[in-house]
Amino acid sequence: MATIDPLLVILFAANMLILVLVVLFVVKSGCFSLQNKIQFWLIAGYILLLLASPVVIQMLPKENFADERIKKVSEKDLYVQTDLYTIAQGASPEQIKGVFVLEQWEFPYNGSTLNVVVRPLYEYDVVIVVERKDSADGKIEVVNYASKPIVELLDLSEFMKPHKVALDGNVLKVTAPERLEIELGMFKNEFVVSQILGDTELQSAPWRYGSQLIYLRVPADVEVQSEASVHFVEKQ
Amino acid sequence: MSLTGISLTEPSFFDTVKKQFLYKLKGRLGLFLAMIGVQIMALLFSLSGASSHGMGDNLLYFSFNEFSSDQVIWFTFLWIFVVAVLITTKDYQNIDFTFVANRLSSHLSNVGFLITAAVIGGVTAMLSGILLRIVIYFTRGHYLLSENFIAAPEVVLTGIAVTILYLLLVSALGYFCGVLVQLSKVFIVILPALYIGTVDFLARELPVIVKVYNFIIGENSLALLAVKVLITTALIYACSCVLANRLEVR
Repeated sequence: MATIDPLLVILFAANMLILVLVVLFVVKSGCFSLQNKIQFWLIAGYILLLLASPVVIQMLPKENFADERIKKVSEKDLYVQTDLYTIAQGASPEQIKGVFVLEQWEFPYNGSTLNVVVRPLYEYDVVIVVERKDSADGKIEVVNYASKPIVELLDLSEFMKPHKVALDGNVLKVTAPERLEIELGMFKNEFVVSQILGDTELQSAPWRYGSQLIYLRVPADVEVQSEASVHFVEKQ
Repeated sequence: MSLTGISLTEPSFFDTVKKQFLYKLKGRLGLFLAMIGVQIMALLFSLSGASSHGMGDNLLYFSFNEFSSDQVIWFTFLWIFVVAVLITTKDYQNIDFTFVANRLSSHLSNVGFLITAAVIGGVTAMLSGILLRIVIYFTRGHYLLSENFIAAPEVVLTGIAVTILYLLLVSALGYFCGVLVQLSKVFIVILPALYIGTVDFLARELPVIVKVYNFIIGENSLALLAVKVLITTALIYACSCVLANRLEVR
């Protein structure tokens, strides 16, 4: 617990004493006009509201704060290599730490070619990885992998929205989710405080904004075509 | 006879100062209402945050907004400066003629008024930071981090003490500027020009500005800051009194 400088206590007590004395002096030193009375009570009301604030703030429930509700990660977790692009180079998603399944789909499919369409094209470049299975099992499996977005050691995975994936005939349509904007707020010490007590700084830990990847497992007899960039990998 | 004379003269001076002070305090309550208006306006500005930075990609964008009541403190500085200048004007000085007063008692009651204004301004400016926290808790509680939300007593008290010290200094400067303007209206042009010239354009090049900056703003010890500010403030008030007496002679 932080110790309070006795000088500060004396200063604060002196401030409060002066405030009280001023109020007493003003009240005792003759009658007010009506206008003065209104002004006086407006000022007194404002000061009372401010003096009540330190008490009120202590009573606010703490569970509403983002860092109380959202899961925290350790600094060690933050430095785990979670480069989703290594999947496109043949790494197994299950073996990459910090990568998780955001959503998955399975579609029965009997066609010979599959056209993968990405929307919106050009504005957005999702990494699509295709793995051809050993057997022609008539099933297309789609997995939306993601890496954790971490800000101030808060795991913000719960806010990530998956892609929308739908199969229509021989067209597999992959639609990007709407961009999600999260604004976190924090208080910093006033400059008059930081001059004496130093600055309050954000955690030095770096931020990671997380990324997403679409992984397709297609039957052995299906050819995949796409206008978007598709990476083919061998079965892991 | 002489004893009676002394006993009558001595208390009457301080009595006059006290009466003038109280009279001015009552008569200038509107100035404190202006302070409330200024602080509430600054609080509203502070709701959008002091600084913001973010990062992200096409899917997810995070921004980080930092809140503080810095603006309230700056606005309060501005308020007390204006008040200090204002009370040197003829309209406000005429209040002294209702008392049997001399120039010194008038100055002392003005200084007393400004000290009171600094204390009230300092306490309210810092406490408004706590009010700001409560308002932001209810308006953006969902994505608010608890860090620094409840300021430790040490933080609040330090903030109040330093804000009062700065308000004392700013009020003394305002009073000095006000007296200069009463001395000659030329200062209405010279003072802002001097301010813009030294603070905005030459600040980085003038060693004296750097020294002044380090002397006050660079001071990390509260006790030393208090000593420096109180001595500087007293000196500025003394200069103001000397200048104002010249004004009276003229």
